[in-house]
Amino acid sequence: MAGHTAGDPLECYGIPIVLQKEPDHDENGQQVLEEDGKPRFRCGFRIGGGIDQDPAKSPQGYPDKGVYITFVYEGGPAFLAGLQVHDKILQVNGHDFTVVTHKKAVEYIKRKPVLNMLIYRKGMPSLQPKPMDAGPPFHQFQQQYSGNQPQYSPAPQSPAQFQRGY
Amino acid sequence: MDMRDMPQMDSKQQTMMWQQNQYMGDSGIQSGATTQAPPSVSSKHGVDEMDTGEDASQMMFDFDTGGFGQGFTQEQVDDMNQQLNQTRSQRVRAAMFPETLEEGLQIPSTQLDPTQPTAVQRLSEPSQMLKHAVVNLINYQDDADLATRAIPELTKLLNDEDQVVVSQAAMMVHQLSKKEASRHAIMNSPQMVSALVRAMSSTNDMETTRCAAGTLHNLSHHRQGLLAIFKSGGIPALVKLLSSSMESVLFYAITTLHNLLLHQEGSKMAVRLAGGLQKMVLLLQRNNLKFLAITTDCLQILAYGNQESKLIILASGGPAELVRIMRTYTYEKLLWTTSRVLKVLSVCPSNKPAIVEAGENGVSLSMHLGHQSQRLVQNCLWTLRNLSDAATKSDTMEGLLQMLVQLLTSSDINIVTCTAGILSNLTCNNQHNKVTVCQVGGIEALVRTILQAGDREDITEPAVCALRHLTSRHQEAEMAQNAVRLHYGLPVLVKLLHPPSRWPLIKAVVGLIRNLALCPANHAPLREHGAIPRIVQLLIKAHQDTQRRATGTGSQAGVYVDGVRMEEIVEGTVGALHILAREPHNRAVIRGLNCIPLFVQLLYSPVENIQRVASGVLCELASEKEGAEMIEQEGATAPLTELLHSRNEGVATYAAAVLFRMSEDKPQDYKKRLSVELTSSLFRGEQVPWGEPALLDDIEGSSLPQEPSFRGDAVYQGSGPGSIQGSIHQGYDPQQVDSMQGLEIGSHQGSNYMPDLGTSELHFEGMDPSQPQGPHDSQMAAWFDTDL
Repeated sequence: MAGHTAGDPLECYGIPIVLQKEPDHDENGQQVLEEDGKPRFRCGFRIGGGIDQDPAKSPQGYPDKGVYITFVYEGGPAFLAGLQVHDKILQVNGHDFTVVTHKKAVEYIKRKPVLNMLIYRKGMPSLQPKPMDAGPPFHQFQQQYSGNQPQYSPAPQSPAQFQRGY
Repeated sequence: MDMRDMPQMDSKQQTMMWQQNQYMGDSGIQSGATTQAPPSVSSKHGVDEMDTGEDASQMMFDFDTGGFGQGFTQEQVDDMNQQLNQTRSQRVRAAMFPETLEEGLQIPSTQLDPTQPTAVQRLSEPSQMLKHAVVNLINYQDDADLATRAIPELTKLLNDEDQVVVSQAAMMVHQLSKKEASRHAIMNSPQMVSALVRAMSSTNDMETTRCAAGTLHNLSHHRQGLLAIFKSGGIPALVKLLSSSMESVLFYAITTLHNLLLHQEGSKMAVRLAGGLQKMVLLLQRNNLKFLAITTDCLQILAYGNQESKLIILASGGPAELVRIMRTYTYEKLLWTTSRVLKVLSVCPSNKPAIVEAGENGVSLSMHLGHQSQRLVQNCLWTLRNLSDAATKSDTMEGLLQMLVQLLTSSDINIVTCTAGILSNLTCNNQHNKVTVCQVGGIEALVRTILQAGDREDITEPAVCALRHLTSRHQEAEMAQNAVRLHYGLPVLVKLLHPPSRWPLIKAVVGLIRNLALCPANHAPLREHGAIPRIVQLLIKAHQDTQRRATGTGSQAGVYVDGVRMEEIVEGTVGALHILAREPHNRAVIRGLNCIPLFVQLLYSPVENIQRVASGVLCELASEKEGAEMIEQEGATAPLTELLHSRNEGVATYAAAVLFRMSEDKPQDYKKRLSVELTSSLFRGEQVPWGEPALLDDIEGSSLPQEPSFRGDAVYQGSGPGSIQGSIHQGYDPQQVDSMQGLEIGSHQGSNYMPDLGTSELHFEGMDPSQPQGPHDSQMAAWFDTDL
């Protein structure tokens, strides 16, 4: 997974994490507001990277142009959600973070109060060619579909079949 | 005289014996057991048997054992003759007038051989008939004379203007009609019958009406009488009488009408025209049991096969009254006739909801399902079955369902057939009922019914349909799927896939097997019983049928065999195989049966459902490398690629999945091209992942080809891999992200990186930090991070 070229198709295991932002408070406990009056929310982490950044210059030595979490504040929303330093963000709310600029990444993250994220973390098993017993995720996948398809129970039999009134 | 002592006689001596009127053997006109013949008669078996009064057939006169060669003296012969002569008249009287015999009289019988009746015996029956005829004639003569002279007179009097006269005449006629000969005279005089009808309708005097009605009632027991009444316009008059307040008049009228309806051609139409239906429904409010029984029977005769009558009954409030009767009374005949009317009405689609509502979904019928009378139970069941497809919305059927499950164990085939049909309809699309039936042991009962029914498709088809409903789409479905196996249902179900089962049954069984395969524990047993090869056989056959006819007619209607569309069979069998293919051994079997070419062919089907199940089963089969290779060898890539564009999400996703799996071992650039293709076809502008409507704008803003983007690669048409995830996630909950892993999108470069090591293990795919990443305009900034 390391060293993924931005724009290439990617396949790996990812951790889904849901992050609930919390309203930002200043030192006095007052709620911080944005310019337009809406309360500001904070996520409790720092991100770095992006396709417009040079990873070679990153102090952490990240191998590619993905967006990485460079710091997690203790007790913050990110911490509580289970995010860790050096996690690579793959997706946020459906946006593909393997091909975003830094600015865009920040924008996406700031946009919504709840973030549905996909994270890649070092140490996760790499995706092998599918063995035979790796069926279940796929079946779950299927199950979704079968729920939407016309069911097997037909409409009630037409009366002509069962009537004996005549 | 002991026959055993007699020497053998020659024929001459035997003849002499006959001449001397020595009749041996005993069997009287009455049974020989009661007759004690004088000691001159003996049997070959000895006296003791005779004393015990054995049946005459035991006593055989056997010439061979020596006959009765002992001679008689003339005196003795004369004696015997006299005796027989004296009793001759008794014998004749006994033959002709058995009622005149004195008690205990013993008449010596003259019958020699039990198999040969005497002359008198042979004549006894004809002579009795003659006797009766003579008696009748004597009676008739009296009455007929009277009648012939009196009838014209009485007719005149009935037409008189004076009401009193009419009344008296009517009374007379009524009296006359009670006796047979005069009744016939009345019947044979059309003027008399017309006069009666007229008198009945036009009079104000109740007595006249009653007598006239009574007369007609008596006449209605004979065919000519019925005809006479019918011809003289009696029916409208009688129908009018149905509004009378007098009980006896009502009774006469309804009974006469009943007889007319039963036996007289044309009465039904006449009664309907005269407005009889409405009046009869009104009469249902009375509470005389016999009266109600006759009235309901009339309604049944009128409504049978006649849609208009049924509607009239409905409009007059019939269903409510009939249900009230079922609920209130216990007289079996009444319940039976009423249930027949309900059965006839339940066929009419307009009546159905009314009956269901009035009867609270069959409660009033089901309370009689335990009755002793089989005909009542049968009619209630038929009615319930006819109603069962209209009654699916209620939730209050626990009692009924329990009763029905119990009735499945009945020994009467008709009851079992009906009950299975009712259960099948009641469980269709009704979760509550499904759960209830499972809880009261319905699965076991149904499996047992199927086992016992053998090849009687009338029973097995609805039972299998009921099981099919019970094994899917409700909270106890899994339990049900297991229960079928635990009650030894699987072998018999697989057997039902074979002849002599016809297509409707096969279709139902295939559907049931599909549902059963949802439970993993059933996979192995189903395979062991040979379900898979048989299903494949059926698929091939059905498919051939569709191909053959399609080239001929090319119609949309589809190919029907036994009333079942072969396309449905194709869909059903492939669907079943799809679920069965979840298990690896099953997959091996399916592969071994060489079905993959057929599945690939089915991908070309115009029917979306068939595409879906075909792509689904291929998706499962592609789990193994062998399978994937076989699929690819069959040239599946082309149709699958087509299907990617299907508007049916299931089809598109399965197709994508198969393609991905097939592309496992392909070179990198192939996978790249493939993923591009998939991306572009799967991504649809209107779909939004995770409910983010702004996505489209964003993607357009950042990565569309128009805008100079970091991707210089011309191959990317769409907006990148992220869209695959996006479009597939649409409509499903976010947890589905896991499933993406199964799609094997593109390749994966397995390696681990360590953030603080810039070792050679790091695998930078095509990435050279010193080079700009493709032709893009933006400068690479120095690295920084942002606090969020």
